Amino acid sequence: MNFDPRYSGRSFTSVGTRPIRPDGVDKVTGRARYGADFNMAGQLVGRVLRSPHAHAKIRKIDTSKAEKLAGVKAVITAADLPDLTDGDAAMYDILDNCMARTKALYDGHAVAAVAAVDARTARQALKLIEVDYEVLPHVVDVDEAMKHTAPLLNDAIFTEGLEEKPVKPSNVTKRTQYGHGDIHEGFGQADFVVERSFKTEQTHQGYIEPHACVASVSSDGTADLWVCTQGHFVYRQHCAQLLGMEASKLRVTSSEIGGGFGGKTHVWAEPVALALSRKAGRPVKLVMTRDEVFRASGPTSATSIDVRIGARKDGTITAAEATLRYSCGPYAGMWAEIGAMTAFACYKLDNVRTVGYEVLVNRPKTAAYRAPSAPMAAFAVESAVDELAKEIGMDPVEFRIRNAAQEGTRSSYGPVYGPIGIGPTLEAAKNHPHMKAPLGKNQGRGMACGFWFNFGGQTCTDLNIGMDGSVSLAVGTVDVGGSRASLSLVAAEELGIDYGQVKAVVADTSSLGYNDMTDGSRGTFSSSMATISAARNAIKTLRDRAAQTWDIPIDDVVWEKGHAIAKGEKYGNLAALSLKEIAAASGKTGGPIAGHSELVADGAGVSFATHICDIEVDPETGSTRVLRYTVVQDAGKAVHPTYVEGQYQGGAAQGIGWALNEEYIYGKDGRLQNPGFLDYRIPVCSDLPMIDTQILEIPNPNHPYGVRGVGETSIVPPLAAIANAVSNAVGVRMTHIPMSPPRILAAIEAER
Amino acid sequence: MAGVAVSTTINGDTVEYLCQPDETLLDVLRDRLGLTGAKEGCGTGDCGACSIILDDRLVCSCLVLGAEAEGRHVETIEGMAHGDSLHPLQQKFLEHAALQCGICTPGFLIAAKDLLAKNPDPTEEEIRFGLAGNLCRCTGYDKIVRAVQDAASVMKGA
Amino acid sequence: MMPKSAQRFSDKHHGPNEGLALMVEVTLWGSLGALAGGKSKVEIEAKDIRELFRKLAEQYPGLEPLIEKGIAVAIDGTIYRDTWSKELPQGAEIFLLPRLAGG
Repeated sequence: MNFDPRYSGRSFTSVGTRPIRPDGVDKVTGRARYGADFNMAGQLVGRVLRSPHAHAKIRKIDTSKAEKLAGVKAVITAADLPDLTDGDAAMYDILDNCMARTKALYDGHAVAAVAAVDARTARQALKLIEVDYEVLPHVVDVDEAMKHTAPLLNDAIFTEGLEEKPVKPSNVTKRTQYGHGDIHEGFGQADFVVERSFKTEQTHQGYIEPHACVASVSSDGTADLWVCTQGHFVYRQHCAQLLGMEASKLRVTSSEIGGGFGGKTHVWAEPVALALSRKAGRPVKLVMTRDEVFRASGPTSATSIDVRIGARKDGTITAAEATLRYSCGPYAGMWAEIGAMTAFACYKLDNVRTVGYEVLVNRPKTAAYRAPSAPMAAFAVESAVDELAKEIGMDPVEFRIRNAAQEGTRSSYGPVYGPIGIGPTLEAAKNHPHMKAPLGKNQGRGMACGFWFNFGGQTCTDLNIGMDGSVSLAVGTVDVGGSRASLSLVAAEELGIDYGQVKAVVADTSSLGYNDMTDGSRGTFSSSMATISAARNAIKTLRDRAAQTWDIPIDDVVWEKGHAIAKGEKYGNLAALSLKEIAAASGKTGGPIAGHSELVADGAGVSFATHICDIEVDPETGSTRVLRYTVVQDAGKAVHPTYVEGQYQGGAAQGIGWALNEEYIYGKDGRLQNPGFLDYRIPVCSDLPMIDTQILEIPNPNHPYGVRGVGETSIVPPLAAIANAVSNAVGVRMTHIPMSPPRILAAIEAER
Repeated sequence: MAGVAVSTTINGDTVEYLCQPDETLLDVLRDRLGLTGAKEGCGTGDCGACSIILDDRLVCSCLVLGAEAEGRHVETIEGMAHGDSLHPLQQKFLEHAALQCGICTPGFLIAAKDLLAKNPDPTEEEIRFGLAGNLCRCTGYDKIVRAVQDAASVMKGA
Repeated sequence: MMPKSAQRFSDKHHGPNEGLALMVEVTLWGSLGALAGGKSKVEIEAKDIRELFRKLAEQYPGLEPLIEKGIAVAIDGTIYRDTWSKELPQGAEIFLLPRLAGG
């Protein structure tokens, strides 16, 4: 990488300001085009037939009646998506999830699909498809699925990571372990030990825009896909592989995305839409219903976690241990492993061990949800940490400050930390007025910490300077919450021009090199690094053109505040050339001026947050009310502080919903009973207070501006912070999320 | 099924269309008239992303039939700005960053406009309850409430 | 063509051990260790991530499928995912981690 990514400690002109986003007007006037807002001439309507059974063998599918219905142009089953995965187990799982091959593995699993002239015909056609199922016993609970008597989802799965190779298949795909030191010795030094078990229920990202795409496959083997996704380049690769196409012949355009939060990092219906289009010879639009989104996209894991922490009287933690069991849906995942890595990441521990078990259940395939797996682990650990502080008789904030990780601490998942923000967020929380505000009857205050890794990854950016001096910035990470604004600020900063002179767009897969998924809070981190690099490459050309204009060596030309300046007294008579002037002459000095960048953005700085909340509980009904909520989080450097605040507030709100309301409820038949926003209730405006934010800036040493990812960490502390607040309000430790009114009432009554 | 001929007024313009008797007004707006500003987030009236104003009443257009618009006045997000000048609510949503992904924004703007038409000086609580029929998953509502408060004060002054 | 500042940066990092393979100690996480014959630490002579992966796969064939699937390398606490050319500085702490999914 011919680019110096190190933090330079510079001062900023554009970065840190709060301009209006470039895509804003389109979004407030209804003009912005999302997944379902795009149409093609001759387009058909695609719909998917889904299994009503949690677990069933597919004996036979008869599509003949559906095919004969007037207006039906294509009907497909797994036979139309042959296995081209060539031994790639992960891709095979994606294929099987897109269209069940031999077994339906959850309520909602796709088994067939149709393309028809209109929605009504497509719906009628689905009813004419006859599927002969052999219903099998199912299991949806993570603890039940681990028992040796549980129905097996896949008899070819033998638990990996055990010391002895297992002889019997299991629903546990993998055991993983992290930690260092000797926990037995550590617990031996403890004066107090807290040991608790916790459960969290499965939740959905709850993006308001259902998955939607328009696929058009031509008879010459080329294809276009318009889709709402967090990673159109990854979608292109996956779809091309599953359909046996060359990637370059499939152009994927990322629409505006109506929320993703990790849920739009996996292909679901897109390969199906492409296969329908290929068979029908016409474009196909496929939009999931909300019911389908809940039943058949990718919610987060349900979990069961045991935690044990020991400490000395002086408040030093001597040992910490956790066993984490996470549901993966029907396919292997690494969700418990991430939980095991993140669980104790906030603390400086000499003796720590975490063990994770990945568990298959008859639920939809688990997908990432904002700092995936970390909130549940933090709920368990931070609840136990609060209990331990109480037993020792220490203030919970002081107890955490005493044990907080710092620069040089060996993290619980292995590497040693560089400069980090857990200590400063705790100090800020301790000194926040919220901590000292009085509480009333039936009210409790809770606080908790959270950690997320943050990712970087492959990134490609183009920066083109028009002859009028305006700048087009083409990026390949998807704008999920204002990154076109933040990246325009970065380009303006680097070039020394006004924010308004830059126009950022998300380029399609044929216009730009490969970009990894926009996940792991990497959008602004990675693409700003590539934008800085691209801008510096453009500046090199700008200097070169100025040098040509002046007929002096390029080394005598510097770039300052948007101008080329001839350096040194001998050039005193040369007036600075603006970017605009250099651009205007570009046709005569060597042609278009551009800067490109292809890099792997490494060194995403880890991020920490501390949240404080006040909850009031009605002891008669168990209902709760969030009275006050404060987020303190390290951003490294907030490029557009308003959108950083927005990330903090949004993550907190999702966490509040998870903590208090949201859960997948399955019936005894293994069918999801609440696949809609009426019964799966996400927080509405009247449920929440204002959410206060405090942005800390502890620069990431591996980014020129010190930027860290900010998107995910904010959902990590809320489950625990709210559980601690509710526990303090009712005087009973809450161990099961969500803390819905019946659970709170049951906990209060059990204590009476 | 025979189509139903409908004559209605949308954003002040007379519009005529044919629709199926079981077709929602949302589908008519989006699929027949190309007005895709109203979004389908749920199709069951729970998310408010398809909010429109029908004869001065805030409704979810996914719960109204296309045929029911006959002879009535429909107001959608596409009619909110006047030419190139944004409605104060639109402007304040931009200034306060009251949108992240923006999919819920048209619905919130329509609902907020309806709220302020009926209650030009709402308290924070009235705004929160007034907008409780619209789901936003990105913002935590904080900046939306502030944008509506700010727009209300601008509109009062106007 | 590199900007001057980047050249200085690269020079510094090429520094004394350019082209010279060093013995580095690599820490393997639990399940990886099992595939490397139960070792939690291994010594490998390697100058960069590419060589590290190649030699790990040679010396511990059990690790090869995981390396193929993708492994992250933490060097002095900074996690690298795909940068084969990243050099392994002398005395650095090197830690192998799984590649993660994110939201």
